[in-house]
Amino acid sequence: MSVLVYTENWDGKFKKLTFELVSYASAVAEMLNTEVTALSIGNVDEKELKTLGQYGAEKIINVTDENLKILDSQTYTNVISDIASNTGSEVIIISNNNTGKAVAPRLSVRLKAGIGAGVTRLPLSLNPFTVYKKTYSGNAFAHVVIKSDIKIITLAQNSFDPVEKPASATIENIQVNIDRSLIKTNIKDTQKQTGRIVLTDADIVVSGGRGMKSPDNWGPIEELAELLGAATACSRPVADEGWRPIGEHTGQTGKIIAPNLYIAVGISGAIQHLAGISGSKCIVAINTDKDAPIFEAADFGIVGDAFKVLPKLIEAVKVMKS
Amino acid sequence: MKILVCISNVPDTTTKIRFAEGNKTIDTTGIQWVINPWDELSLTRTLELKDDPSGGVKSVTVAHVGTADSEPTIRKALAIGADDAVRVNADSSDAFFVAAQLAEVIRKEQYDIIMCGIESSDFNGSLVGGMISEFLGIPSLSAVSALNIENGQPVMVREIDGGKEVVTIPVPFVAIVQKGIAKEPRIASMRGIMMARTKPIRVFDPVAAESLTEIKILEKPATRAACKFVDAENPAQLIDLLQNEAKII
Amino acid sequence: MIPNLIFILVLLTAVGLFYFKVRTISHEIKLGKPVEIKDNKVRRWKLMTKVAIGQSKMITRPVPAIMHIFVYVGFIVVNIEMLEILIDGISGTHRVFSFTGDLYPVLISSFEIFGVAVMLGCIVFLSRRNIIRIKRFWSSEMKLWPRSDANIILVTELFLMSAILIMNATDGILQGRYNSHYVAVGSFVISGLIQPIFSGLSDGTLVSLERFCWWFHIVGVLAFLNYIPYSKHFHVFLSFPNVYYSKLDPQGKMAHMPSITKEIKIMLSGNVEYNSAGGNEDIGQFGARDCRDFTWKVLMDAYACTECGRCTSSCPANLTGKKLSPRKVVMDMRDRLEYIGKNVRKHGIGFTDDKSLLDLVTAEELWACTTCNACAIECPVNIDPAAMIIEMRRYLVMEKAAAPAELNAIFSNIENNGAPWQYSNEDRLVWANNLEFKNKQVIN
Repeated sequence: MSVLVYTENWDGKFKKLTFELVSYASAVAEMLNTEVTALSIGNVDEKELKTLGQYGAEKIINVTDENLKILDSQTYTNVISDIASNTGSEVIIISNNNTGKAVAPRLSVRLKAGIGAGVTRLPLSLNPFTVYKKTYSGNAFAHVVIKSDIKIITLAQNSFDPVEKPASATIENIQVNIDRSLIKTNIKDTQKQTGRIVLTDADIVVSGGRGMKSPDNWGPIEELAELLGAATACSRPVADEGWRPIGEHTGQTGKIIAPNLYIAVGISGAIQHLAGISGSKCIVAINTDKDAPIFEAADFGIVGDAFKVLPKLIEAVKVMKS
Repeated sequence: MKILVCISNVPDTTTKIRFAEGNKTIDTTGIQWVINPWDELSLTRTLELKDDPSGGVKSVTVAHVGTADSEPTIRKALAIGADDAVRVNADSSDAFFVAAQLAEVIRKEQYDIIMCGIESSDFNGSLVGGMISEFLGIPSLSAVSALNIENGQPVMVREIDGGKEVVTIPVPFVAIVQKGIAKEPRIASMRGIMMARTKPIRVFDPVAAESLTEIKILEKPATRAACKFVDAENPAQLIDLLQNEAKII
Repeated sequence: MIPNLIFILVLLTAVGLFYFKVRTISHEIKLGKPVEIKDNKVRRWKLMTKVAIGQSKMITRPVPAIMHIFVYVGFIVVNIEMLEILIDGISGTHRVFSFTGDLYPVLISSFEIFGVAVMLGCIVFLSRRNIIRIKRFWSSEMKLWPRSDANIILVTELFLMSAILIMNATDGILQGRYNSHYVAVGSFVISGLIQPIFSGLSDGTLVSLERFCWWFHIVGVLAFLNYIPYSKHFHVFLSFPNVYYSKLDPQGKMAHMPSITKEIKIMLSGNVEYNSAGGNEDIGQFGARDCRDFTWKVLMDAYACTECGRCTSSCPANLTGKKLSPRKVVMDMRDRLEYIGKNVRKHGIGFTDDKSLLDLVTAEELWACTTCNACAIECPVNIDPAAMIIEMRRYLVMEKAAAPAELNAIFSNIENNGAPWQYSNEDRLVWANNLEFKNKQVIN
């Protein structure tokens, strides 16, 4: 009756979100009076696997197979559901990232397990099993009861802090036999964006809007982001105009992010943009218009000219770091 | 090639959300209903592919699970250019139920590609597309930001963390599409609106299926405390607040 | 005798060719959709008198206006002289109108003065086009044929007027040499001034010169007559009906589309019949994609264009660097119509090709238009380029939903939020919250 958590890896390494998941799973396991089993798929060395134990994983199942290099939704669903059945897991925890969105719904149908998608808190109650998630793009939150015996929870990124809770972490290596011919996903080419901080992973994000007036003015934003170790983002008109890459567009139809700190420079705060950032722990807004809607969502604000304020902020951050 | 586009009916994105009696559902008075924005982009891309004769797309059908109240939205999809529509007459209770209904529709008629928006703006589940594919036992590809047809074969771009992949999958499959799949949503032309009246909406009864989840309560998000303003002449104070008061840098 | 027969032959050929070409143009204009313009006859005659005969719209540019009066009036007046030449040519007489006695030299002298006025006009126009290089003659659509066309016309008129003067000068000298053919009819004021140039020539040479100029002039005129329908000079004929049939409504008033009104009424009535093919009788196409989607009046507009460029030089889009040139739209319409006409004559009325006017007039040009109607207001022959642009836009939006993204966004927002912007419909009156009103009523 354990809690199974799928711990995704990137080139053999875990990220902060992995530890968020394990901590969450550990907390849920405690509520259910049971164990946490972590499932890792791919080539992760023993040392890295052991780190899962730091956050509460009692057992770690390590599945390696050449054919699992490609993310084929059906194959991954097969593996996870087999492991879930073999371990008799009652609750399965997966991230709400792209991989999770690809696999979790299939898993739900495979195991006839109800699914709470994009959950942001620990279960509100066990009987009935009730989870908390956002709906209406952040305009409302729902208490959702999962009625089935097996439950799946996909956890929204950065909604649960990793908590160190050292556990035994015994590793079990499992061989699976994947029929290559059953893998339908055919990858023709891969393009990786190297170096930049992945926006959805970033703890701090510095974002620019139309108030920056021109793509040539992005220097201060990039500099501030670099100093803070932040990712850069932008509002929709900026992405549509081609000033910044489409991947930086945060908003209802762009990326939904929930960093610890979101700094919005020259962004008015249209509803659609706020829907993309409302999960942020702290929102800072810099805008010349004191009536801009962004200030209603912000925790801190400066009414002023970004071109004057940003250089001073940059100076202040440099001072803080020294 | 026959393509099916699944659409859901959602309140317009500027709607102010209020709750009905009992706080289990939203108050629908005065709501303007629209096609879910991701489904709109999904439909737009599909119609673009149909417009190109070299792609070999013969027909575009839209499918929806909902009551007769959703028909205006389905008509909009027909006005934008879909050839015909299917509605399963049932309340869309949860994703599992909806996916089961749509899977049954697809089982009856053969489709090559099933297009689903990656999420709907009402329940933000990102579930139906993947569930349909599992019910049918066919492959699925998620986070699809581009879909082209080259030499009769669908070629897609999938977004991964920090990059993208070019992927092909043999038909039939489910494409779960996100922003980027089409540049902006197509709107209906006058002719499309007039033609929409003549296009058929077939109504099916639902098959027996469970719903595995249920919304017990809806609540408003916690209101943030009012914004603390820092003087523009002294932005350094903001850094100080973020470091010592909010403790995030 | 022989010269008379030759003359009659040349005359008949020229007039015949002219007739057939004009008939071709008429046929092309009639390829447009039918429309009845039989209203307000008195008002239309008044308009034609003011704008076409009276040239009222030229007044905004005084120098070309005066020069154009010279060539326009001169053209008409000098053609009275043509009558004499025709009679002379057919019947073998010489200066048949000289029966008017003392009046004759006065007549011819005044013709000569007008002729010089025409030449002055032509010289001023040539220098405006080629030396001063006025901007509207050098836009991108004014290359190749249109530029040559203008210069050919002006140079030809200079030659023709010169021929008359030389003819009269040599005639005058020969009168003084007591040649039985060249009876003394009196001296003419302008040609009299240039007589000294030719006075040294022998009788024979003078006669040859006089005859040469006579033939050169009349053949030149007949040739020019046939040149006219291939050239922008056709406006001398077409401007009159074009103004007569032009729009009498205020400039901003657009034509309603009855099929749209009907559709909206159906939708608002609540009695919509779905899944029925009936009620959707052949509505025809919305807007215009190609020449034959416009009315014959619009196609007449295209042929009446003088390519003067006043429309483009007053267009606010063009003045701010956008691609739109109303003159180009009209010229494209004419070029495309000529192409269609040629192919319809060859292949029959059912002729279609996979191109259209929208291949010549791009969407970028169409969407730059602000519908201010300055082009229609400025046009001296009452062409309405704005109406052409609107019809093509109607096709793009209503048939293809191919409006620019910003407009499509506005359509969606009006449909969903009741306003062009993305705000909740409930917030419509937020702006009025802190304002004091005497009577405030919320109308839903």
